[in-house]
Amino acid sequence: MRCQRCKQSLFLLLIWLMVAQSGWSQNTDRPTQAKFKEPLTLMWVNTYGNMRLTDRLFWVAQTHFRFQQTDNTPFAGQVAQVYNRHALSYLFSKRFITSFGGVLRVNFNTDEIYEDERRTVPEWRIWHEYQFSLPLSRVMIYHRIRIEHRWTQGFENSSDYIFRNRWRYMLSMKIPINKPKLGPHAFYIAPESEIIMQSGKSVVDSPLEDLRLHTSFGYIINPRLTVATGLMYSIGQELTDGALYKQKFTWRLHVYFSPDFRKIKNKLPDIHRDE
Amino acid sequence: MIYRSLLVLFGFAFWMNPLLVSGQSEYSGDYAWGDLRGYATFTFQLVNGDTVFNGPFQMEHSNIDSSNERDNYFLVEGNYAEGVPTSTWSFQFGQFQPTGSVRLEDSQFRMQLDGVLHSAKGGLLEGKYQGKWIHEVNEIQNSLPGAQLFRSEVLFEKGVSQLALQIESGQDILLGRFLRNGLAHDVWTLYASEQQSEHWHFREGWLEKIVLTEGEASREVPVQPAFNGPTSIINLDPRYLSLLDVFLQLSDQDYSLQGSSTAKLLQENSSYYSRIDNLLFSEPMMETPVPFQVKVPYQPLNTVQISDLEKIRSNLSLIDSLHQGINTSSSINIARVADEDISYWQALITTLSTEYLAPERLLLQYYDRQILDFIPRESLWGYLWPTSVNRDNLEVQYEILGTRASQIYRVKSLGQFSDNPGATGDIVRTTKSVLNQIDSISRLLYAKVESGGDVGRFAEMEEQLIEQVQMINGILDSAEVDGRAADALRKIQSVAIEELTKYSAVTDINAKEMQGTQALKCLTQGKELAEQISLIPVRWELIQEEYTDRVWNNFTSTVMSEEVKKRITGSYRDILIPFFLETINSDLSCLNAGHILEAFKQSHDKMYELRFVDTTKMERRLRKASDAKTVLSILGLDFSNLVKS
Repeated sequence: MRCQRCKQSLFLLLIWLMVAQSGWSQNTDRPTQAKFKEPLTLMWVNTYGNMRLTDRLFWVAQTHFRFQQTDNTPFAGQVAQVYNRHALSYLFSKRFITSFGGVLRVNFNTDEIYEDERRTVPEWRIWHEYQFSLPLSRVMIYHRIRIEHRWTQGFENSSDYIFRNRWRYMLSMKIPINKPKLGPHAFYIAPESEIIMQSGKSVVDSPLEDLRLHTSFGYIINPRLTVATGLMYSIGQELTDGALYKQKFTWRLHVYFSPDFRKIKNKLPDIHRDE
Repeated sequence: MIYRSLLVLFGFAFWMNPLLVSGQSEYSGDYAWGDLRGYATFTFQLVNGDTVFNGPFQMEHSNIDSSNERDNYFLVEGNYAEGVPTSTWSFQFGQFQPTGSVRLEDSQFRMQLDGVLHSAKGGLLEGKYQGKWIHEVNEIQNSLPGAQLFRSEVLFEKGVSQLALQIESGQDILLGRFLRNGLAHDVWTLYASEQQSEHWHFREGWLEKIVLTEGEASREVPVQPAFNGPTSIINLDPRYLSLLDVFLQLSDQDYSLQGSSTAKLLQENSSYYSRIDNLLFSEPMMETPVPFQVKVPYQPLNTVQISDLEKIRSNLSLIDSLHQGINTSSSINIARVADEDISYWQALITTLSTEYLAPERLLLQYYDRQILDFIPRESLWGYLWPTSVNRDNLEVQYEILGTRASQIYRVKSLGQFSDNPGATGDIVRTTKSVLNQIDSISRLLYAKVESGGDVGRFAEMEEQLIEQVQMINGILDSAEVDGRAADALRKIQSVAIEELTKYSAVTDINAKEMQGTQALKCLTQGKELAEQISLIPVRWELIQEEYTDRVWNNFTSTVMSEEVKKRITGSYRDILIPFFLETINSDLSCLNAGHILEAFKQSHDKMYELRFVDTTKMERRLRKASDAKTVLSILGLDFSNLVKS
């Protein structure tokens, strides 16, 4: 069942890539070489909340503060985005979780602000996510498919919302270092790679929005609180020019918290009993 | 006319039925044959009122539901001629367990079985083994033949084993040869592997040596002692193997048949043969079969020697009953804790009875095993009573107040043994003299114990006292604890011994009763306290388990184990338990043993009580508590009397 879904997703992705390819080939004044922009440095401070509401329902609340370099300050020179992601997450089984919710992201203009430009603009998204987890010896492996429908606008006053879809797939692992299993007081290494493709009328020759390679080093303080930090390299096409690639190095700090708001705290639902 | 016809008909019927003609009868029904009980079908004649088998014989039994029975399946088929087994015989003995349900196949119920089947097949002629006999033991798995566990093949001629023998078991194969008269001859070889083999060198039944080879290396073990006297031919059976073991001991070869695969195979073969021998040759008129034969030295005991050996048996059994009486007397066991004389005398009786008389006991054992006739007396006497060993001085080890001591006892001189090996009279005198010595020591012992009080009156209480001390000793030996916990167990032991000493020192009857009751209470509490200490490691594991939550982590999609309320369990492990152990080590007495025991029990119960109640405030208070007094008061346990100000 799980594999069937993976295969279907991959097949759709391939079809979509072929269609996109045929679109590109019609471009007559196509550049002969890709151009790579100088990498930017960023810092993200990410909080991830997973608040348990019932045996199977969680409220997902994530707030990210994203900073970007300025001419004088690397990584955290200025605020770039403030990002709020909420969802209801449903635990089908200990191997499959799905989520559905919305995002409000506030984008800060990090370039020079002209007269007809705004300093901040909102961005709206509806998102849904399907996460499969697989234990392999002491390691946990995760496949995450996230689909986002997003409405964005430029900083110009006259800018209209444009609509795009984002297709994201992430393969990640959590490898405990000092303990046989992930648990309290375990340090772990988490390598992640995520590809983010986009589609929509405005996406002409830039389907690869981002490819993110991130490895973090984490510590599980207790089952309700984990901290981690890591460095991410990402590369992706500019929306307006598919030949132009942005590159970023992002230093990320993560805090994962998961309080339990039920009357019987930490009660283990029957679906986990066979562990 | 009709009368004549009837007569002809009757005559014809008589002629047609050989049973009627021969006077034979047929029996079908439940029957007991040797040690077998089952359903039998056979023909027989009645001779002088006795049943004499004559003709085919069959007997069977199956009770698969009963796995306790020795053979829950057997089938025997054979023939008799005038009460003597003859012609072809086959035996099957099985021990089976059903492994599945019963199924109906081709109108027959079928059941899957696991088990072991011993089958034996061969011929008999005039009541003697004749031709090839094969014994096989096979494993049965799911009603299919499994591994072969054992197989032996021997050729017989009029009951005498001929030519060659072959026995297999697992990887071991034993090949042996016989002379026409059934005597083992030449080299009997056991191949255990390509590298390992064992060779028994027989010469006309006489086992000269055993050669063990492993790869290139080989070792030669001489077996039968040199002997020029008369010899005897006996069966190669378990008795012979036990005789060989004695020979090996006499020749001081540091080799025992325990490790010999040849001996193991012969023993096993012998047991399978005796299984069917007991059935076929159980009738009094039958001759016992003669399987493989060997030659051994023969020095039969004469009537005087036999009567001496019976005297030795009688002396040893009197010694045993005196010894047992002294060892099981609760008064003596109590008194020896504190009274050195009593402890020494008791140990002396034990040493005389077991250590000193060990050779005499061994001699009697050989006699009972019926092998004494075949052991050359000179070698045996030299082995059992070597002249190099001084038997006059006996070291006696005993315990007094928990410490070991020893004294030398001078055994009353018996004079020299006569030069004649095999003079059993000397041994009778030795055992008699030791019996007299033990008797007089035990009189001294009882007199001293009885002078200490009314022996019988407190017997039950004293038994209980000893039982408690033994239990404390047992816990000390087996408990898997160390450090202060082990020290605490030793402290409990020393308090218990002290208490016993006090009790045994009291002579006044009334005071003794009071002291005994008090000591019993103290020792019982001590034993319970020792149990509590021995349980510390296991209990701590259980408490840890109890205080572990299993929590789902949605980020990792795993269930995590989390220790909770560590402040509470930590106070128990790091403050309370060490405090209790320290109190035992420094202050344990009969006065506070009950309090400490109660504190141990209640604090343990408290741990379980606090698991599912709100302990937030308590945990906050415990954070600042570093001494047992504060912890006890926070946990609501009132044992302030244990805490020194």
